[in-house]
Amino acid sequence: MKTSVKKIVAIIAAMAMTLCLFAGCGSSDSASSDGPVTIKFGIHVANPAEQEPVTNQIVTDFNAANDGQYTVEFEAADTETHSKNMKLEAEDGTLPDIFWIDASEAPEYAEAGIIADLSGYLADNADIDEALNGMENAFNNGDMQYGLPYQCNVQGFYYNKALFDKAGVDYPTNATTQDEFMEMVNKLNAAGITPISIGSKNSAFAMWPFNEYLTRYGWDNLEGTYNTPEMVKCFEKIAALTEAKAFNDTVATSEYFDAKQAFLDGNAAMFGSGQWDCGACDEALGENVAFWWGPQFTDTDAPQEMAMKVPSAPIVVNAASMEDPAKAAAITAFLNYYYGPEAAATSFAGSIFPATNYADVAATETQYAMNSMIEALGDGWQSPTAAPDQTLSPAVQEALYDAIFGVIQGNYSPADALDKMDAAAAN
Amino acid sequence: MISKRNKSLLQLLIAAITILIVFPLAWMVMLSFKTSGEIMSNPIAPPTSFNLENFTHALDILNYGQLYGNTFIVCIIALVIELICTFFSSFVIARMHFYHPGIKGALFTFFILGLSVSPFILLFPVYKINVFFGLRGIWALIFPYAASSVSFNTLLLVNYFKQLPSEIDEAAVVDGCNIWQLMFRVILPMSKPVLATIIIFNVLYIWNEFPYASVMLRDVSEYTLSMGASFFKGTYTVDYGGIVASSLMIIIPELIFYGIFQKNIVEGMTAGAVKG
Amino acid sequence: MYWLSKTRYKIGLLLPSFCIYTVFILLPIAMAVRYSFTKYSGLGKPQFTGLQNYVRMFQDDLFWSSFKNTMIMFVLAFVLLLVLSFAIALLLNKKLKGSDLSKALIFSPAIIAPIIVGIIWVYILDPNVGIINGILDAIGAEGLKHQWIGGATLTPYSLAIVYFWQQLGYLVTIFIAGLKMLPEEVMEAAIIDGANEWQKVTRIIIPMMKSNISTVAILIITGVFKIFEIVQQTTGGGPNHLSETLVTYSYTMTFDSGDYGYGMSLATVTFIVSLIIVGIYSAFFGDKEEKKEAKARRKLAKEAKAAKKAAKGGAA
Repeated sequence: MKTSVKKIVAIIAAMAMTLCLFAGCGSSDSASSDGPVTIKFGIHVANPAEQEPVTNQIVTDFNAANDGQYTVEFEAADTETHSKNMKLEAEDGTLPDIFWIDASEAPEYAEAGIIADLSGYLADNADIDEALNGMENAFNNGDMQYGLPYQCNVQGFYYNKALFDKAGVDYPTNATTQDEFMEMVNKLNAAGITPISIGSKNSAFAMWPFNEYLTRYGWDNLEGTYNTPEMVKCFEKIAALTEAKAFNDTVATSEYFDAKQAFLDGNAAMFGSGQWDCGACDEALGENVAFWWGPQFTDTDAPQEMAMKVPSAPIVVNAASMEDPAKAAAITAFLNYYYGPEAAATSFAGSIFPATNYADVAATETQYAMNSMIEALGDGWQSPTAAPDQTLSPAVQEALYDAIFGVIQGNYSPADALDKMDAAAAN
Repeated sequence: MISKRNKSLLQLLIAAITILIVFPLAWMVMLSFKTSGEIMSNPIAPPTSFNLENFTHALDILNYGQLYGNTFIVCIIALVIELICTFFSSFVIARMHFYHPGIKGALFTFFILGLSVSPFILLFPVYKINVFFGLRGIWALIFPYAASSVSFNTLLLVNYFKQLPSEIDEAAVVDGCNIWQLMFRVILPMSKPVLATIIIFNVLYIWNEFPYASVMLRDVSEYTLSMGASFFKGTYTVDYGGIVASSLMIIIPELIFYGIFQKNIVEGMTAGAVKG
Repeated sequence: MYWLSKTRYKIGLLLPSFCIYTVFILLPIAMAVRYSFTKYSGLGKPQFTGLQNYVRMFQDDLFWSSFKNTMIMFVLAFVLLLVLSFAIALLLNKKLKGSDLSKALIFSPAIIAPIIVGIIWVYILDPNVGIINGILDAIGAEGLKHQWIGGATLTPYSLAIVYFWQQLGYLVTIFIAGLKMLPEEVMEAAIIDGANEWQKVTRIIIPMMKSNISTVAILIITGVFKIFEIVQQTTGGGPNHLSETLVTYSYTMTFDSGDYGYGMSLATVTFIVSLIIVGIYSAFFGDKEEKKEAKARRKLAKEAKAAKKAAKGGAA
């Protein structure tokens, strides 16, 4: 009998010990004053080499150029997991030194005092400040520069010239109006061609062409309330597209990826997306691919000559890392490289618009989609500080995505949809 | 007795049900030979050729030796912990004598409460608890996994133990068994079928578990199998071919494991083991 | 047995499970419930807001539609799974040719990665490219075509079917393990007594498998309230959250809308609803003997009280 009691005690003790054992092997900081410094870059994809090849290339080049001095390592996880991880790591102080974060979440990090103010960095590096050309303003809350744009986003519609030719429809231009656009949709439909490919199962991923709609109805002038006559007009234009059967039949159940594939396969004339798809479009459609901002509207006073060239989500710097001089030096060196002309050239080569602007960096002739975007930008129009959907808190952002897709699918009337956004903002 | 005609009818029925249920799996195997573009453009069409590219690509990107190894280690350790713990506690609840019989019911209810919890609710709190105990890497998974199985195992074990006739215990005690002998020499051999079921479920749970694994593991060298699929889905790109192939790489060992278990243990248990 | 039921054994044997379960399940639940009374984004300090999240929930249309969807899925999955998994287990237990293979294969849906489950079922159920509507078209039964997923009404029913497909193998396995427990003598005796198949099942097998059935029932109930990936992968809760279940809605609120506090209050309610249903089930079908015991104890207590009262009354 006594042995049995011992056994029980032993088992419990063993369990307690295993717990304590691992409590022991806690932190082991890598940063020291001399020798190579390694900094962590938290990124929102699990496999950067395949899923963010441009950033991966920039990091590889940086590591090669600073061999033995600085090394950048990825801390990689898919977007959803990454966003959870950053929140958890903020709590226990294990955040990476630099990390990508969703624009809607970044202000919370700034308020919590977790991320560094980069205005000093910009002041010290006037050339980079100039190259960013105001694009960094989206991530300045008045008190601090809490982030810098990861890349530049150009959003709107890609279109397939071959299908327009087939239907005998003129290509859209920067001056095309809503009425002309609707006529275009009708003609494409009459020719048996799906006008616009969109997958709204993951609604955040089909938002892009409508950012231009919101901007052209004066999104930036909104004051607290979303259900305004101007916004109702804007949403009515989206509803009109549904009514004209502008979207693919599978809009409710297909994903962004399926919608993209349909466009690349030549099964739809237009596809709402952004610059990250340039490479895929070039590869599949070659010289037939072109880019358009979306229609101009005549029933509003808001400026129509707006180009949706906006910063993508920010990358931010861990405030704690900036306090360690060795790490701060490495971070500064990396930012200098990331926003320098070499990285910009790497970016262009990978069909991605960098956040910076350098005179002698451009796309090659066979980067059709990108050249079409550059052409569209050629009119020198103004751009908003940030894309409308990137100016909101996570809850209102969700509500905006819901609102747009509720209208596309006919579940919400324009006014209902906007009321839901107001309700989300009130919570 | 079942007539011959009825028998073949029943066999037909079994075959029909099986086909209906297996159809999606067969479809998935078929998809694994198609490129990602083909899967999206026309998922129903058969593959144009017997193309193993998805598999070679998956093997290129992921270190399967390491993934299998990590998953296996997590599985074994968590399984040992949870089986020992729940075998003991369920034995107490199901077969020991309590002065107030209500306590048994209360303990049982207490232990199965956890079944009602969706794992993602526990993600943040468990992370914080792991940090508090300094649990890192695979150890940050093993304890939560073991804990997640407590409710399920209790439910199955207690209900099973209750079905065993109570005379067994008395006979064993009269024969001079102590409590360990009773548990390990008498009850344990009689519990093979339920233990087999539990082991299968526990192993499959751990093998496929994603939410905890994705949040607790930081280092690629610690990753478990379920994280493989995330390597093929980026923000703006998806490689369905890679996902299907990597999923099959997860499933194949499971199917083998299940087949072996099903055959040797569940079936191997002779009806005579429960004599009552 | 009585002799071995010493308190120190009980405590010693319960302790390992108790520790691990309390630390990694109950404590986290308690923490989550605490967050449900706060406004919290996951960052910084939670702000205590009392019952505000719960008040908001009862006024939230989407909460009620998620609740409705969850209940539809629960009823449908419960009936289908309980009846059919039992029937299939009986069938497979007949030791017919091929039943071994079937047993292994029937389990296969349970191990397909969720994202693949999504792809597969979208191409079965999708109103436009799905196989079902394709077949209905081909056989000229266009009138039967429906918007199986993606619409506002049928999605929860379709998802219950997907869940059924995924869980069937698990539950059949549990039933088969239970069937193997039945002593063969009883079966043989029943056959000698001339019982037909139906009588054998209803009069002998079902009563003897009571606790097995309740195991499966509890697993189905608690399982339905955790359905997550299937919804996420087929409709993503859409269109416009109309096919959201309680769990997916709570996930969306927690992680997509960054409203951790509200998300946790939804999760807490989901947890409680699931417990209530398990409670209702146990009250109706729970262990009769234990209930008898409890009843007897109550009766004794009542009598003792009455006797005490009587004694008191007598004294006065």
